[in-house]
Amino acid sequence: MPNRPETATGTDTAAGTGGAPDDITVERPSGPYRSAARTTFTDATGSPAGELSLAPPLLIRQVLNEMRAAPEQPAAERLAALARAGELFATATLDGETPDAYCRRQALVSGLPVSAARRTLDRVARTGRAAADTLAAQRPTGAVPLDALSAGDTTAVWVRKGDVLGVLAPGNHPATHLEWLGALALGYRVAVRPSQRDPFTPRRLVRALREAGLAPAYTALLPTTHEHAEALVEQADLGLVYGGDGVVARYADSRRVLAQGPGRSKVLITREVPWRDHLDTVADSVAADAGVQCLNASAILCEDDPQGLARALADRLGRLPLLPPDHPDAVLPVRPLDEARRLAQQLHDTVGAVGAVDPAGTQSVAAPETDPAERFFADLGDGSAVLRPLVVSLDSPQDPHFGTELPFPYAAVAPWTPDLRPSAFGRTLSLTVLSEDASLVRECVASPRIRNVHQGDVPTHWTRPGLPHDGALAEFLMESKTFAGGPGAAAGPGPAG
Amino acid sequence: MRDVDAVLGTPWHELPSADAVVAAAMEWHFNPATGSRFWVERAASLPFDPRKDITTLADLNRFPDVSAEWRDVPVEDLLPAGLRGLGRLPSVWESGGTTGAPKRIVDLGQWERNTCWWSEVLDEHGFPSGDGNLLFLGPSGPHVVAEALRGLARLRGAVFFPVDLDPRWVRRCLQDGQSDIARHYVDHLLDQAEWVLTSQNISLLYATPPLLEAIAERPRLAGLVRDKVRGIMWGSTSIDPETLRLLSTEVFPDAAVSGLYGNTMMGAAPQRPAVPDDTEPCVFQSFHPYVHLSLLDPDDLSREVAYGERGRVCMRQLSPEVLLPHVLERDTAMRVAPVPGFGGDGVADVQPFSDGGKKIIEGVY
Repeated sequence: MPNRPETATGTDTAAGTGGAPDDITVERPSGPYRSAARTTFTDATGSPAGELSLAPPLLIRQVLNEMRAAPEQPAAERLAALARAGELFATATLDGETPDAYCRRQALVSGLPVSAARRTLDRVARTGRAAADTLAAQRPTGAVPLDALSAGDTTAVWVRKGDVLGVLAPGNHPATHLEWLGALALGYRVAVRPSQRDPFTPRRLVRALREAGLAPAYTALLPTTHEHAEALVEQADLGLVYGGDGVVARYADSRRVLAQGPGRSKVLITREVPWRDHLDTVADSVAADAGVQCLNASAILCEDDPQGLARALADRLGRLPLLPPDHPDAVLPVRPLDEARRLAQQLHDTVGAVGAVDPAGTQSVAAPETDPAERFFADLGDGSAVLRPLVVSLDSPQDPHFGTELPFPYAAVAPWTPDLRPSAFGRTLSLTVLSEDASLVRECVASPRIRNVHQGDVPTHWTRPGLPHDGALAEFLMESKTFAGGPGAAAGPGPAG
Repeated sequence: MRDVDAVLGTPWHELPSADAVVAAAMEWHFNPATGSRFWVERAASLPFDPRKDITTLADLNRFPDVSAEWRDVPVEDLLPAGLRGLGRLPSVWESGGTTGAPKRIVDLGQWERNTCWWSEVLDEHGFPSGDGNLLFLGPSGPHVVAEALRGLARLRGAVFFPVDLDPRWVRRCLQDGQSDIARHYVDHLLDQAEWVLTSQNISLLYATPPLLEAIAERPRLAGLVRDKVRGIMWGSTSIDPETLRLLSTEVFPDAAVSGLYGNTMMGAAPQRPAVPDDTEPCVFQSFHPYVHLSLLDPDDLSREVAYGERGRVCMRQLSPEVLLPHVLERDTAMRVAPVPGFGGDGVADVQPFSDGGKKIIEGVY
């Protein structure tokens, strides 16, 4: 069992600031609100880290009504506030919380390497700055924005489908919160239910936005129980939810709720491209930001020597350091030991026997007295465990283990043959294609089951503000409608009938 | 026999001691001349003699919990012989059936006595009396609560306007995953409430927390309640503390809001007025000394938890018509020390008990 290494800053309390446990309040338009119903949340060692105020459905309704009742803030002011808020999020002390304190809290509670939160600081700043450009880029060229509409126009106009967006936020990665900033740019009021794994990111965003001058009624933070989360989506005009396949299936037919599920992102390498030259891109796609994003690759298709690639990738990922989340060099996710053990047991029962590739120099069979599942995690000795990277070698992409997504660096490697088509991929959020076959690349771009295609040494998780993530959010939140204004509108030439 | 009745039936203003009530109840319910067939026959199989060995409240723990048998025992077997031939037939009330088939009790006045006391507690809360009528959103049928509220309306000079509700049907809808039907049913109830509130002089409202929340969702109906109702009684399902705070401070800020804990088997345990140093917003008192609530350690049911701790609710009823010496309720609650003016411990923050098994569906009632 590896010893827990020294951390860079030393650990004091679970909340990571040396002070009292963190009190995450409801953020209403009128300000912070401490609910009479509260629950304790824990850090990655399983120790209590703070309390969340829980909003029962009645409070959710009250807050949403307040948001709806508040006057509209002009678009120019909102966009300016978004840009300023991004800077504040990245650099300012907000309600006593420095960027460092935020990153540390986020890491200790989510179990993610602190570098993920650090990178998020900058990503929020860039997203805020780019909000106005993103807005313009997502609008259909044939439609005008509402505030550019004049009484005498006859035109398509780009309008919101509702006023309030309810977000059931995930806790896998802080950058997922970038998505709803786009909704604010469009003029939505956004009510976020934070995950117990990461209440800090949306709280800091709400603080930054209000500090930057966004009208308080545009944002709310509504922690609530799992049982009552649905009330937020029901009461809002539209909902943005994150979850597994069950959640996605549940909302598949909904026009009101957009469900974002597992990404199942992939890398495809055809024969004419030597995979050894691109191992960095492959490993980065799998393991960047601890492999927890939907944009991280969880499957690799390789035409030439897939087993060699699996072995090389296992060796590469097997050398990643096993560190607690607040260590500056941490790169792997940390979970409470019990949870890690449960996950490891599942892995042992499923892929453990069939295809797990052990890195060179390790034994596939542990000492007889130890639990064989223990090779999937590393006990840090403080109640938490690092989830070790895992590479699985499969005979075919038809294998049922192909397309699995797990909350740590995980990749299933399967052989690719030219007779397979993109339909063999299954649903894919982001695909990196390393291939000289232009028609194959084109076919991937055209495939409705592949949402984003990166060609060459562009890792699956690469992104930039303004580019669609899983489609553009505006495609869900906005619509075009006709405005024919003034007495002259009907007199002009129109289509027959 | 009449001496026994004098103790068991004494008005609550001249309270006998709890142990005196225990002794009188043992004598009354286990004497073949006055007791019910159910208890007199049961006495033979008990490993103790209730009339000799049970003298204190704590001794009642020696009894088994027989309440489940009251799902199918004929009601004639439950009526004490000493209450036969009074020229009155007992009323029979049924529980809501949250935890299975309903249980039944006989009643020859205990609920009425309980309600008279409750009405006095409502005076202390500042509820209107002789000034406006009572709208009741709850079940009639085999359930006792409508009858109790009808009595309460009479005591407070209020005309009783009931809207009927079938709680078993709602629960069945929810159990079967038909939450849309349950919601439709709630709309139907609220439509009826709106008719009454629009046209009548209503100052008192009884409703369950889910119905109060549903009222809050309908702006016109919530406005009618805000404009007219001065006293809101809630009960029959639990409520989380935040929802209660919102209902009383934001949704209906000008009405007195007071809770009621209780059920068919234990009677009404109203919320007592707050006293200085209360840490709990809502403390319920049972109809002492005829009904006792004990908070037992879930891991060791022979031990009562300390004040301020949470325990499983154990109810004991010692009325002339009902002996229930030891009933483990479906709930847990916090034990609160007695305060002047009220006998026995208070209970606060009542929540459905969960042992990790099937979730209890409270429904809208």
